[in-house]
Amino acid sequence: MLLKVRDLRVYYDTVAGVVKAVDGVSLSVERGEIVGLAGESGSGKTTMARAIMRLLPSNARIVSGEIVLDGVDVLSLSESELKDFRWKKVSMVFQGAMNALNPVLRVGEQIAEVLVEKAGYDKRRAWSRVEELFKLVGIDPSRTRDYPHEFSGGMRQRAVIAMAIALNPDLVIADEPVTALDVVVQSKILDLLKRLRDELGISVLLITHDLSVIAEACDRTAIMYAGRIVEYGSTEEVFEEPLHPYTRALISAFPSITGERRSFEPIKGDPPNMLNLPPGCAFHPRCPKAFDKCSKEVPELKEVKGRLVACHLWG
Amino acid sequence: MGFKEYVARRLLSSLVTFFLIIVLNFFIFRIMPGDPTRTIARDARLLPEQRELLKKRFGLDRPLWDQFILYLVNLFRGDLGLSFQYRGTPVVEVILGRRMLNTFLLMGSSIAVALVIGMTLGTIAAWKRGSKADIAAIIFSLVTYSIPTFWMGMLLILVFGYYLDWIPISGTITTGVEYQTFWEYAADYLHHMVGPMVTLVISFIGYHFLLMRNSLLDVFTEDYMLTAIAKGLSTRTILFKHAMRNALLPMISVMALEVVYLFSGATATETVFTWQGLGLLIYESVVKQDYPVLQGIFIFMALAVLTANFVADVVYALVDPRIRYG
Repeated sequence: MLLKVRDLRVYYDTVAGVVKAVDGVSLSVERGEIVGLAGESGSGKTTMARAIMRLLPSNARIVSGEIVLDGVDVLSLSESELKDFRWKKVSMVFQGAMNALNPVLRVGEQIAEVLVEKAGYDKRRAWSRVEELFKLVGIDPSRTRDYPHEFSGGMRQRAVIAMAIALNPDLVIADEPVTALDVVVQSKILDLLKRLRDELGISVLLITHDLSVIAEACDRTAIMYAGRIVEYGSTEEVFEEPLHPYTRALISAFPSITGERRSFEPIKGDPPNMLNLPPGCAFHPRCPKAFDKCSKEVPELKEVKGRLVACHLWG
Repeated sequence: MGFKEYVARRLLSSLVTFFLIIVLNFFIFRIMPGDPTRTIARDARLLPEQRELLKKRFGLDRPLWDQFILYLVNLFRGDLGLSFQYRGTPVVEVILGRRMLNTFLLMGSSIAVALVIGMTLGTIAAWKRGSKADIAAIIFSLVTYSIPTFWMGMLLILVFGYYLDWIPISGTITTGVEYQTFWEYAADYLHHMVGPMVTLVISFIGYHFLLMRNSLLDVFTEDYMLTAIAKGLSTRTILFKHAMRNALLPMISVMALEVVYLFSGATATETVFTWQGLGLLIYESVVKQDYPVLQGIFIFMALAVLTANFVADVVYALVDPRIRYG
């Protein structure tokens, strides 16, 4: 197992109160696997990603839990150990590649600098490696000396991916990697991620609010709601037969391209107030199948039919 | 658009602006109430033959249109007329030379020191945002930035000049002293410069500090800064390669605007300390209604503003790759 997150709790101290953005999440990623992490905005997906890279904002605190990546206890790393850990072990493709690149530095330079500073390349070797990386992600290698604004959205996203794999990390966290792109480019970028997984054996944790992205690219899928994982299993199974009422609601709120024509069913109610979560299962006020126990007890994540589900319906 | 074309365009627009300023500079003095032949040529301190020369030079008896052409012709020959208060000395001689050197030395060194201190403090404060040092520096900046320079100057003169007798009260050099060597002269000159320079540095620091701090804080919230941190780069690379270059962009226009001070001087500070620079000259010319000198200084200032802005535009294009194409 490459990544193991156990009972992670990350809280934000805000003026209005404590936000339990991630509240007891356990998650594992195997080598060479693409795992999807899906949920509404504010469900704690990005906080999860940032916690794994120890990139949380200053008002966040890790209350409890454990993150182990390839045998390294991430939460106990010192500042200087972190500098070495970041990008070599785990790298990130950020939400909105538009702004993830520094506008005043050449795209190639932003990749070459990691190779020079962290892998001991000399300048010339670093730049020729950048050209190789460009080829690998499908950008014309003659464009390494362009500035970010000279790239299209899809090219920038490819460049950001090239940057992420520059040091051959074990895990790439892709936070909404295709959100701002049109569907054709989306599909190409997802194919690229799958190809890199096959060729380089990297693992990908793909974070998105878009279930179609998950369905297209992920081997396994975790559904998050209000800082907790409610269902985790193989993508096929989760989409074929969602066991958690929230997963079911989420899937029927999306149009199906391949399946039969059916009407959408929006999820009732509003996303929960993260400052003041409902007692028991946070989804119970919106759940069509809620019963007494749901408002009193927080359901544990338990194994049901070969996957993990946190719902009182399943015992 | 290529770089050369960009530079050419900026240069052309600067020239057009300069011409408009010259035109404005001419008419501003003509629309002032009163007859220019009376206000200018009837100055009692001017000798009769100089008055005639001036009248003829400026063609004050001719129609306005002719006067304007004459003004342009004289201007391009580098003739800005004669000063009243200096008994007919050409304006160019009054402005250039000593006066300008005094202002250049005072303003140049004050701005440079304030820029270095302000930007260094601003960078540290931004990096340690919210710390006690940051808050103290903000309060200091706001207070010093808000104090009027003439009041601060008077306070310095009172405390360090009068009570403590550390700095001279006024002037650029001690009057009536024979200097043995250049260094003796330089030391006396610098001694006189301490007062106005400290005043200016203190009043400029806050501005640079707040600007640099804000500019950096804006940059810190950008996504590419998170990328830089996530890449595990050294703090030096993150701060100076990724943050500074972006944060310095707004500072370039600030520096360009400050070049203007090199020519206009700081009127209030120079007046309080009787520093014989262009700022004091503006004050004296207003009081003595020396319009040719004012007109001349205006043109020099306009030229300085335009040149500085042109240089800033070119520097922007060199530092920020997006500009040429935008």
